[in-house]
Amino acid sequence: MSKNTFFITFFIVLLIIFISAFSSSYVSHNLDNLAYVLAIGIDKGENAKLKVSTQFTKTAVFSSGGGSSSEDSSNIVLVSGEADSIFSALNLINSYIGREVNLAHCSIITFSEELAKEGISSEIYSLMNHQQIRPTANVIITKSTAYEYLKNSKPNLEKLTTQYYDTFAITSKFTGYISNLTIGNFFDELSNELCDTTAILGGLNSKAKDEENSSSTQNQTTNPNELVAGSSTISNGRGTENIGIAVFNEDKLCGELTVSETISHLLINNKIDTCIISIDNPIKEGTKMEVQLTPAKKCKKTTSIKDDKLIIDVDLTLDANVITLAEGINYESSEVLDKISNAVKDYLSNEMNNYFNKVSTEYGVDIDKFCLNAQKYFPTKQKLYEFNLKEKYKSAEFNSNINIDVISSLLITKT
Amino acid sequence: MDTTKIGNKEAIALLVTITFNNIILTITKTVLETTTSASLLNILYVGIITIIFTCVICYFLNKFPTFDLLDISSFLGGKVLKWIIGLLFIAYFIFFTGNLLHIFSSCLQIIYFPLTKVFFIILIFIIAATIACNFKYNAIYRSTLIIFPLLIISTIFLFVSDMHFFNTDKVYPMFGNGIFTTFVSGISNMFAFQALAYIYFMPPMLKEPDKVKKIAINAIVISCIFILISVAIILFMFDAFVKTDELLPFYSAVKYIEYGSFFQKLDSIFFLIWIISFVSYLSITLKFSSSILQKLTYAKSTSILTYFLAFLLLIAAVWQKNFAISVIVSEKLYMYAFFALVIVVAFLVLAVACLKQKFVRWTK
Repeated sequence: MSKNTFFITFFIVLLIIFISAFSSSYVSHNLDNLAYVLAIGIDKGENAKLKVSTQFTKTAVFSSGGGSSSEDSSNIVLVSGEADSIFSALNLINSYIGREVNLAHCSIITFSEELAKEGISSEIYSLMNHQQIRPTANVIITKSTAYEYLKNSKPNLEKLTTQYYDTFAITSKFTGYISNLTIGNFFDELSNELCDTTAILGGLNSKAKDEENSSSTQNQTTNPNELVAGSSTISNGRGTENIGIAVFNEDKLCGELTVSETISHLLINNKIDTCIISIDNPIKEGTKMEVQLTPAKKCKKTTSIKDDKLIIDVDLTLDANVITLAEGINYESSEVLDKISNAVKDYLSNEMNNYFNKVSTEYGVDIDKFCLNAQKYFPTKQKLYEFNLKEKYKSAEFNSNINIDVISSLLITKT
Repeated sequence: MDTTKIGNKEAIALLVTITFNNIILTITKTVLETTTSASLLNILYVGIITIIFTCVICYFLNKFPTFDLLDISSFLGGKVLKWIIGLLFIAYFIFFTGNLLHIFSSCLQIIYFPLTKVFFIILIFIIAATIACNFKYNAIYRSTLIIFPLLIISTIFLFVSDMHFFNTDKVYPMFGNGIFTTFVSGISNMFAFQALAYIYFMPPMLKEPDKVKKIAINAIVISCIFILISVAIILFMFDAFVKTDELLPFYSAVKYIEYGSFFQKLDSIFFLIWIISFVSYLSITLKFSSSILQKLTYAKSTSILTYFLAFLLLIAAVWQKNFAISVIVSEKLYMYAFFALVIVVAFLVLAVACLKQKFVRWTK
């Protein structure tokens, strides 16, 4: 046998070996054999520990041609199954739908409030252990069941459900009603002993509640100090809403932040571009004034230790624009602007104090990473543990220094 | 033009590629586990020590121009010492590179080829490295130089893209687990500079052997910057790595990169770069090992030696019963072997050979 013949034979044998070895992985990754999950919902099961719901969209939706793909509720498939773990349930769903369930495009992971109160660390670790899960998938704690939440999650303005889920990150920037909280953040903060974690708070709106015959609309509110998901007055084709933040102590849900508290949290953590607040009108008593706030500088968080006590200073510098105008007022007058500025400052100081009281004293959690900021005072981890920073945080002194610069009243300066 | 020798830039790229592959697979995790929040400080400190150490070994190597560690061992202790040193280094290169191959192949299997046996992934790497190693005109060194900018760009891109997830407060407490851990036991992180092991064999391969010091120092400084960037990415991004352990920290960091809804899941591009870089690393190791074996056996051709070493590499990559064993080997045994062989034995051989050289000259 010549040298060339030997090499050709060797090459062909190798080729056959590798084709057979890698073909099984190729088949499992073939698009025709995959079912892409858009969202996962996890509830407490009735017959097993967990009830896992998966939301799919029919693949024909993406291949309708001409770039005019569209999706309506009939193209959304919601399948749920019960098992003792997420992946056993997914396996069950897999056997039902016939295709391999793929989580690579899963945009949201929803947990019911009931399950979250019992602790979800095992579920979070298991999901993060899966190579297909993206760390940027949003985590939502829903006040209804996760199944109902997914059932009612239908896009309003977007063609595709995935496009609707992508809006969560943008909405958080300009409303301040929610925060773009992901499973990556959740996992990371869960692993850190010094800080606590949060998730988006979701729920069903009044229309969906009526359809589900649940507790109806009796707890609806418009007050931002009370407004959370499931209590708004929104009524629309889509039955879900995300308002507020779910707060965790370690892996257990311990409370929720209302709209005002969410804005405070986002301002402190520089996670907001602009938001609108409603204050008592300092010029015309008995009326309300809406002000648009925009951070002028990044919020400065300073943590110091004095006499074994944690002192936390928050410096906020914001620009404000008056949106609601009253008749007969010159909004260029420095006296008017000062009054508005002081009113906004008082309002925010009050909101900040309420927020700090709630998270540190009532919930005993550090979701703003103040304790991480205080680590610099300790040369070693041992000294840090000896000081018991987390415990000291509960009795910390909070000082908020808020600077408001009222820029203008947008287009009309004098009424 | 001599096409069998390595140019200065090729040599630097080669040495940094070796360190880079170790950074991706094990070093970042090990450094963070040992020194936690003090990792950056520790790497700066260890980097300075390594540069000093490199200067010293280059000083010794310059005393024997165009000699490598084998020639110096032969001068010091004859054929016996030459064989001992040669075999120890071949075992070191093959065993631990095989172990890293097992780790990398396991990662690839978990992420991309769940239904393919690890053996076949390992085999395809070894075949690629063996073919590359048998190309003439130092093809592997030149290809390494081409890949090198990709490694730099991809690492900087990763750093910049993940920057908005960084929390620099994680650099505190300044001394992590303590001053002793950071500055004394933390010296163990010197094993991050795996390129040191290859420097001993470089002088006869270089076009300009007298520039070995310049090449080595440049390579160590670039490696140090690479390690600092890599550790910074993981330290600033994740709290989790101090408490939990992940398969491939860099993969976790890459998964966060998103530019709008169009550029998502860029991990495949990074893996492509890492795969090319890893094949380079494997072929460099095979080339160095076969050169050592050729010097020991005086064989005319290195091809047959390369096939033999590739077979040994395959065994070193498949013997592990599970992933956990290969992680223990790469995190513990690798470190001890590095210190025993690269830092102590090789250094002693060089130092004593220098003394012998001085003594011989003095007696003449």
